[in-house]
Amino acid sequence: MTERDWEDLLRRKEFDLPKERWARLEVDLLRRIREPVAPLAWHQRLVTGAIGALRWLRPVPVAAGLASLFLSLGWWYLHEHRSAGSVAQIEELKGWTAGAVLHSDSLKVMNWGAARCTLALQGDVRRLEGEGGQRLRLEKGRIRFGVQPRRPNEVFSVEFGSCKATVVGTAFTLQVDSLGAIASVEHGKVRIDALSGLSRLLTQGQSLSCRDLTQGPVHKNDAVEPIATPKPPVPVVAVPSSLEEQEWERLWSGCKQPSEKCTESLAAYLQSHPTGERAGKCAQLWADRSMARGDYRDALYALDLAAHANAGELSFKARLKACSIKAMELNQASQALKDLDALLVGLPEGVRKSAAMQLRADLVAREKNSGSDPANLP
Amino acid sequence: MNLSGPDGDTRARTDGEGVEYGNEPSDEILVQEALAGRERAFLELYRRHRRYVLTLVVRTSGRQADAEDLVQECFVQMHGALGSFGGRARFRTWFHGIVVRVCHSSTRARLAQKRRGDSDAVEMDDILLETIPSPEDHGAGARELRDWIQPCLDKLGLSHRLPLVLHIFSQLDHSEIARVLSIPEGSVKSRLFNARQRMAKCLDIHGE
Repeated sequence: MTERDWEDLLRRKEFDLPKERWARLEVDLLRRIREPVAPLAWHQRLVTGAIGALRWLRPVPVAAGLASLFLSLGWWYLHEHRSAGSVAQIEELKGWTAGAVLHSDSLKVMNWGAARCTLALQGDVRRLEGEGGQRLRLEKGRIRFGVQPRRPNEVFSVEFGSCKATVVGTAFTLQVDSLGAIASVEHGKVRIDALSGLSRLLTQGQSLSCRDLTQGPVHKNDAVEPIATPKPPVPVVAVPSSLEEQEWERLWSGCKQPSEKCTESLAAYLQSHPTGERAGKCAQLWADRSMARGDYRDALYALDLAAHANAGELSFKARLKACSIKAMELNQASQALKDLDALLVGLPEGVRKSAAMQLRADLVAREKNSGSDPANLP
Repeated sequence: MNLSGPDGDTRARTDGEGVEYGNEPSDEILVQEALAGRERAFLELYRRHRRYVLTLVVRTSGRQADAEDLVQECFVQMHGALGSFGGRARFRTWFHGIVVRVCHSSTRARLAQKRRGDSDAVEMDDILLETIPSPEDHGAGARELRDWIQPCLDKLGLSHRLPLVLHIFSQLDHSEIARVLSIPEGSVKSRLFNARQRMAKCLDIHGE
């Protein structure tokens, strides 16, 4: 007998009963369905309801759903519930309230949003609170920060002197003494913003005096200044044109794929060549990579460099793109519209003006759709 | 669906959608009429499907002894649940769900009885087994079915026997079986595969 045979037999053959027996069963069935159904007692209804609910709920998917819910809540609590600047680990830090100064000469560990920040502090740090959340300000002394991991949109910045250091990478040292305020970067990148609005990006091994930023140009490859043995800054050597070509070729060919090293190379190139077509291209590439990573603040910084690179069309597009990011990604629609208006002032009629006007119209429409009061729009 | 028409008549079989009884109303229409309180419509459903349900019950539960009671129970439960047939599933899928639940309950009750050592139940099995006349007793293959195939089917556990019977005898597809048994479609496929392998092994042993 083959498989096909037994399956065929099983399919074809049926049981049956004599007609009179079916007739008797039919009468019996009619009697049973005509019988009035007694209403269920409360406990029977309870059991029936519970069974029905269990059948409807399907235990396995419900258990999986509850497990995912609890896991998500746990993740949220660990990563989101802690407000930026929440201090943990050490009792001394827990009492470090806004406005208070922490004076210490030891190693501290604190949580800053999702980042764990290691402070090697030799001096006074004040904790500030105001617009934009909580901030730190180095009053006096020296502090080394190790910040990681850092979420893409989370900003960690510390004020020192008349500047502000914003972490783009991982570890840096700030120093404030009678000679001035100096930032040194050990790993990654740190953006230094002066109160006057100027800003520079420091990469690994570079240091910058706050006074230099506010009063004059930044020198590339300023030596890192350890506290114990300060070294004089290394002067910048002018690069010959042919070498410049080689440097550009090396940079551009080495940046085919996104990497940390590539970003650092782009930043270094931009510092030594802040203007020109190539600077614009570098900054644009940097911005594209940052946007791909979701780090829009870094992208804004790069676009700002591109905008000030005097790269013609590239600079103009960078300014438009920056406005777009502010409105779309960072919820700063009003600021974006103000920037656009500033850009439009004095812009002659033409393709550029049309593009800017179009973006402005899109942003205004988007704001209206999102429910913002049109009266508040610039 | 392998449903026959009313006893002794020559109506065409359904195509599985319950709509091809010549000019007769479809199962779904009969359900609507039965819901409206027309007993004749329910009786028509009963006559249409009782022989099929009888066979399905015997193949699934592996017993002829209380097959009549189980058929009656299936139809009584179907009558009570007519209001819950919202037309989302096809009638046959919905009705198979009821039949399978009844068979499950019966098997569980029988196992409990056997565990308690209730000899009456076993004896009644043996008496009634001989009293149900069946066309299997005549024609080609009847003996093989009774002596070889059904015993092999009985040896399968309910979890394997149900998908096999629903697939081969009822000709339900994998997704329909999954809905009837409330298990994933992948489980249906694996159980069918295992059941077929066990059947082949069992039949070979008998054939030797």
